[in-house]
Amino acid sequence: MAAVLPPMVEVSPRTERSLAHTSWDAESSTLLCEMDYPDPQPPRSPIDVALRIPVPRQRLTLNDLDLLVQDRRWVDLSLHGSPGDWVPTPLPPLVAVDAAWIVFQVEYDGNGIASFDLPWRLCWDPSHRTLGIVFAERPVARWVAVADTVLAAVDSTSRLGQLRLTGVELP
Amino acid sequence: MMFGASEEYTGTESAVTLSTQAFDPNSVFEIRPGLQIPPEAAPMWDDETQAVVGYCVNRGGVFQYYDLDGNWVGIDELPLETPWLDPIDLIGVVGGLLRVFARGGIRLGPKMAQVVASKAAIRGVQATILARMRFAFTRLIGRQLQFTATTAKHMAQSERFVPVHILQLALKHGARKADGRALQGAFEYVIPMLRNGQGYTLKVVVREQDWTVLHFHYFR
Repeated sequence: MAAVLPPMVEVSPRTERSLAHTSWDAESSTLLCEMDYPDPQPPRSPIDVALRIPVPRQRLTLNDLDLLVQDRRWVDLSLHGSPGDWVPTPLPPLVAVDAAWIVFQVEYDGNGIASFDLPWRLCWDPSHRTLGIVFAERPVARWVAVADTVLAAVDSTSRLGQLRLTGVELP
Repeated sequence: MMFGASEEYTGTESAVTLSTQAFDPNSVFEIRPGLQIPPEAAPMWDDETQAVVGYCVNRGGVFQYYDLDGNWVGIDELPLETPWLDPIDLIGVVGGLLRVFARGGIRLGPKMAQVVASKAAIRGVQATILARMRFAFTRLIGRQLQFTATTAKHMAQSERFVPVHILQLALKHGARKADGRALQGAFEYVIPMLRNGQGYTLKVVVREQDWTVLHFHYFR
């Protein structure tokens, strides 16, 4: 694993819609959050299209959280673990959160993979069906919405501090 | 505990058979079990099975061969006047012929390595050696693995995909312990893995009752 500090991120305003769908696979004990971008995608190079060159994707692992990204878009997020380990914590809804892109400022290896072995805490608020993933116990400088139900907190040093998934349905 | 065991996976859900697999022709996956295979061994990529099926060690023109389980499967020797290759890091097997890719091939993957190969020395390899390697590979994939909806989905993504025979090698040679959720019949296997020469740790959680892969994940 590469580092103990959470990854640095770059935040930029987002005008396109980003919709997330979260589902729980009990058999695999995995929470899967898939993002959808209904607005038209930026045009690709005609050469890339002609040669059918796929858009490169990178994979970021933060402990048992596995995040697939394609440029600035998050493709999906997969969290393996037991809800029994999630600590009951009140996570009231946040208000006035700006929509933004979050781009990880990390060095991916030749296979497009970067890994971070971070201390983390998983918080669960059943009344708001919200899961909080806390990577750094540091003051949050800014909350932004990566998707309609996926929020990210950035600290004053531009590191990812927390993730918050709302609308999590468990059986 | 917020949730009872009944709300987590019970280990008895029905498994699915893998229907699609992403395949990245430029990825070479390896697990080198135990200490049997010398670190300097060159992986042998078999075009027929589209996988690394064994290893070759060149010691002064004497070639030792190993299968995927680390078993020694044969030896052969080159005539002295035939300098076969420089230090190598990937060998392709086409039919019964060995094809040496340029240095760096392992990082490029077999398909790209073919394109940029500066030398394509080709020589025969004893049919029995190759047959033994392929037999070990076939034996590995002989036991059918099942997948959950999530692991099947991850197998269809080239960024998360791990070849089935590599999962099987992890189950055969990895360090085994009870799954963290202490569910009966679920075990976690951990083993070092290489992808294009890059080192990772592969973790596989499997329900041994029906050999269903509940989770797999590799990281640096």
